Amino acid sequence: MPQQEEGRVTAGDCAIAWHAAGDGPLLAYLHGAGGLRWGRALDGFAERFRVVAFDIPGFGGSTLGDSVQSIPDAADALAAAMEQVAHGERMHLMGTSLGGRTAAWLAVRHPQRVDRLVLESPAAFRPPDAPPLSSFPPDELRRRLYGNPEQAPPTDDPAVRQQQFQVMARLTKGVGWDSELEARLGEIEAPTLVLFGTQDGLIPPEMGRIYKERIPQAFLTYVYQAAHAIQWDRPDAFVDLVSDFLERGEAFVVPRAKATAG
Amino acid sequence: MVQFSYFHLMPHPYLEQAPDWPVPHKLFDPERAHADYEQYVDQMALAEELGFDWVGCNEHHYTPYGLMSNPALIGAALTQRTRRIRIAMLGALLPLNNPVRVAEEYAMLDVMSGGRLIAGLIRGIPNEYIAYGVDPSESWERFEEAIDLVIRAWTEPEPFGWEGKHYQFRTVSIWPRPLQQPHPPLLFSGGSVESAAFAARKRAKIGVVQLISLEHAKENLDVYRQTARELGWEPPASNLLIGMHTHVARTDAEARETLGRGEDYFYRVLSSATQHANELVVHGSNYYRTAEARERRITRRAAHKHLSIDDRIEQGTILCGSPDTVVRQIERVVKELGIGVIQTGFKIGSIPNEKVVESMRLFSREVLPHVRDL
Repeated sequence: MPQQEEGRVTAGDCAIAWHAAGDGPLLAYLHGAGGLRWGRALDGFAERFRVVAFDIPGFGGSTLGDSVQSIPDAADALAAAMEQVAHGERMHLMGTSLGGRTAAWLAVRHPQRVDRLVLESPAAFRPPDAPPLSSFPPDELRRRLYGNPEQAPPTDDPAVRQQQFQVMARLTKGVGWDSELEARLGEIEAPTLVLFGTQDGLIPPEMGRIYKERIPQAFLTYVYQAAHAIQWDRPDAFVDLVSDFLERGEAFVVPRAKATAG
Repeated sequence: MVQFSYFHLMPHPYLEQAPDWPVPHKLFDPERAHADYEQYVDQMALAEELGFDWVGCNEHHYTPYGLMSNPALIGAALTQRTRRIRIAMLGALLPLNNPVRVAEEYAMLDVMSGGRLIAGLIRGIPNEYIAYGVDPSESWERFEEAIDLVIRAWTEPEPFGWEGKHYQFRTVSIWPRPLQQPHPPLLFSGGSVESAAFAARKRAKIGVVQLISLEHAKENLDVYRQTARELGWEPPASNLLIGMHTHVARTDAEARETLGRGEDYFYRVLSSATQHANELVVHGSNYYRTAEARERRITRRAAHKHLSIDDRIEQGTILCGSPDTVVRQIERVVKELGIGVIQTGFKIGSIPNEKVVESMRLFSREVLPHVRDL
């Protein structure tokens, strides 16, 4: 596993914690509602990129300043943190679930910060009839998150999870369908890759269409035999696919020459 | 209401003795096959005129018993020769083909036919895996994944990428897409209890086509119905198909004589080489997921081998006799199995084309009117 470094930067009235590993082009990462879980996929990215994972305000080592009352507010604080960590350079940006929603807002409000954008099971559009995450018993939540539970990280401490749900409720105001973001997806300038697992138990994978339709240069990929946590269910495929997109952009649709057997 | 499908294997019945496997194509006679393709397509088009509900094609490789290495080609011809009848592809052998290609060909057939396609997606009998160089041990996994991909290709309005275990496409956006919405009805094989349960999980129609006995078919169909119920849906009879060799003649004896000879040639000469290849695959790979499934198949095959035409008539697994007899046989199979579609096969082995057409006409005139409303 690549050596990790950590630090904190100040962004407005928040302290934003970051965790980094690897060398190469900068890849910012925003975790899902369960907080940062650094696993096989992030290790894989760290072999090709300098991965900088930021804790969203209110999660992990980041504080939740009074000015942060919404996802766009959180995106502003994170953009300020990215600017400091990257010394003003653009970064690739990848977000998972709640982090995907935040990353999409960040790309809307701070296009100059983002090179290429990757949204893993982004949680901006949950159908109105979908029950809230907090309503699922822990075992069921786990089944909806992970198609392959043997590869999943251990279950959270219930107290931590409870606190995470509270932060999420404050930032999202309990709104599962972000119509403001829906109206502004067209402003995203970054080429964007959206991924959904075919077995996603939290968000119907077909929601990927909304991003594909509205973001000017978007690619939608279904990952087979993956549920909501794609990077835990299919870590190697996820890393290969996303890295290829980050490295080649639109040209990633063209099959790469394979080394032929001698 | 019982529906009838007219299924054709398109045999090449000109070999005098059982060939070795693989059957060398020096034994293929293109001139005779040219005439046969024409006659066979005529027979299939005639089925519409005679009141059949479906006309069926399927895919086989390297064999004189069936000349449809790509059934979509015959399906395309049928879209131009028929107006009403359902065109049943039973089907493309999905794990052997590019799933995107299958999705495209089926969408073409559905649009060309005005929405008449029944989309059979089939794993294929074991020997086909040798022909296309695909690992039979991967057949189930490939099959399951390819089905999901085909359905996604038909129904996803936006271009999408597919990151599968066996199939990877960075962008898929097929033209045309199917006419039937959300997609053409699916039909899977129910030759084993495993595949029957799978068909129910995918809400596909089910076909059991190599009947060893009605009990064997019933076991699979019951698993299908039971699985569907557990998932909260009740399959209509029109979801259940069984396949039966069929011959109707003026008398029972005449029918038995003609079909008996045709079947004998079919089993002894036309399909013996394939049987050999099947054994190679079954014993040399994990084509079956479980040892139990493999054993069951081996036992059933062995049992089938020893059945005479009289046994098959007795078992009720073929339709053979005078119109009255065949009506009773149909009544029996509908009653015992609760199925809604009977797939008939009239051109069995070496039965001459005139006799095939005669038997079809007799079936249409003197059998169909009595069994429609069973």
